[in-house]
Amino acid sequence: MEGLVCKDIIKKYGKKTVLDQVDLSLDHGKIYGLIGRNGAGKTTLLSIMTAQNPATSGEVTCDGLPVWENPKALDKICFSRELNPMSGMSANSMKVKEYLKIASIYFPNWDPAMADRLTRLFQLDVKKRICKLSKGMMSMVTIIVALASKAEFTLLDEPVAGLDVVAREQFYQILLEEFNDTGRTFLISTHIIEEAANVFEEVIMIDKGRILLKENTEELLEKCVYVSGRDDEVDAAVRGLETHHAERIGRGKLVMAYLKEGQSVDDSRDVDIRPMTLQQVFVALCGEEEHV
Amino acid sequence: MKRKSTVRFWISQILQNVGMIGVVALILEVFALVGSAGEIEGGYIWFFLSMLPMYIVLAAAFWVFIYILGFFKTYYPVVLSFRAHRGKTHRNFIFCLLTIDALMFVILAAVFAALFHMQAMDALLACSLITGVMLFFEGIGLAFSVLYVRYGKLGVAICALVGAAFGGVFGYVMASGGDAFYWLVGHIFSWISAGILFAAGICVFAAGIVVMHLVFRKAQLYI
Repeated sequence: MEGLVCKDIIKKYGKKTVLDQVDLSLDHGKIYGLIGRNGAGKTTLLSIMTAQNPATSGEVTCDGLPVWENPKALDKICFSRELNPMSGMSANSMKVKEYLKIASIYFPNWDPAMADRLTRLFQLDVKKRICKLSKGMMSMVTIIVALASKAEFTLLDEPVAGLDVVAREQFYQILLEEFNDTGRTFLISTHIIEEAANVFEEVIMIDKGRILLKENTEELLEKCVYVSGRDDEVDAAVRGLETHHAERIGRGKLVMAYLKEGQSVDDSRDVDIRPMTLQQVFVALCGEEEHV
Repeated sequence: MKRKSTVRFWISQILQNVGMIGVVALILEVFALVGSAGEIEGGYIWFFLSMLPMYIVLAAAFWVFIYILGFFKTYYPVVLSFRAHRGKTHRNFIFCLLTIDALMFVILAAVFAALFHMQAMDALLACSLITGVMLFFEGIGLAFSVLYVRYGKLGVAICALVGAAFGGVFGYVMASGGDAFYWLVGHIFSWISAGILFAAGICVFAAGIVVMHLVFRKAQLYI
């Protein structure tokens, strides 16, 4: 089975190119993390992958079937996005109960027992209108829809935005339980990278409309190291390696080294080599470069 | 995987709207009764029953316009966010509107037959005329709603310009036609039949569907 595949996706708004020849494929049975800066194109990519937004060019398929206007493909997909109470077109005047009822009608595999369980777990008042909910509670609604939909490919756009730390832990726990039980594919975009890093099997980084990398999370972290020390020692230690994010620290400097297969940092030099967290890798690759 | 039918959602939409039309008609009638207190010949019950068809039509034309706007602002983006098949959603929505029209047709025909003892053909013509008017308002409502929801103030400006253009042409013809214009209008109204009005309503409704399809077929959704 092919999975959810994007080929040569380009999206333009007028003269501005938001997504530039994006090729991406999501396999069955994995949890992916999608991270990128504000305005990188995460939500646009997710909305194109789920046929809620047409691409300027390119194609998205789900197990070989085109996604756009195709019920057979759309049956397998759920895109649970951030609710915006200020949007002119929105569910903001609906009650939570009504919103979930419509979701139960439209998702073929909707699990009402799971929806009820999560509603009670999150202590959500289903009689409240969506526009009256706090940001965290709106996130809970999107999480309930995503998990109870039981869709094969479930894409969540910033599901933990506004959630407190306890609720975020609950979400990750439930997500992993659901993944272990069903083997569904999840793609989660988030800005709270470190918490979610343990959950992501693969991480996708997007920057300025292009996919920077798509790699196994553990392997990526093994490849990325911080090298710090005196300027000349650091330069010698990382000679021939791909480096990013050089910054000055005291009298020396710090760089991120991205090690390709067979490469290593010359540890005979007087440098300090440290592993990096996923968040640090992201900042190094997508942050502003300091000229050192 | 057996695909779930979404007919439950549309049935609830139809029933809600028919119910609301009934409620609005009753409220209008109550206000009319209160306003006419002491001046009614034939008693309150006769007044209530005799005016019922008119208020049902008024309520239907008004409510359907409101419903169409509300649907595109609220339900449409939600439904598409759950199962983003626009063509199917558009078809189901049109079917929903036509079902409401058909139910109103039947209800009014029953009222005409039961309360006014109209002949079947007369009731059919009266209901056709009324349905034509409703289709006309629905077509206008569709075009206005999709333009407003999609383009906001620009959409309102487009509707205003189109309305102004029609009004301008009409005014010019009226002013330059003089007596000939009034003669023509009089003759047109003398032979305007329920069938022609029904056909005109269908044409405007069809135009509204075309506008809806063109505006939303590739629109980006914001929830």
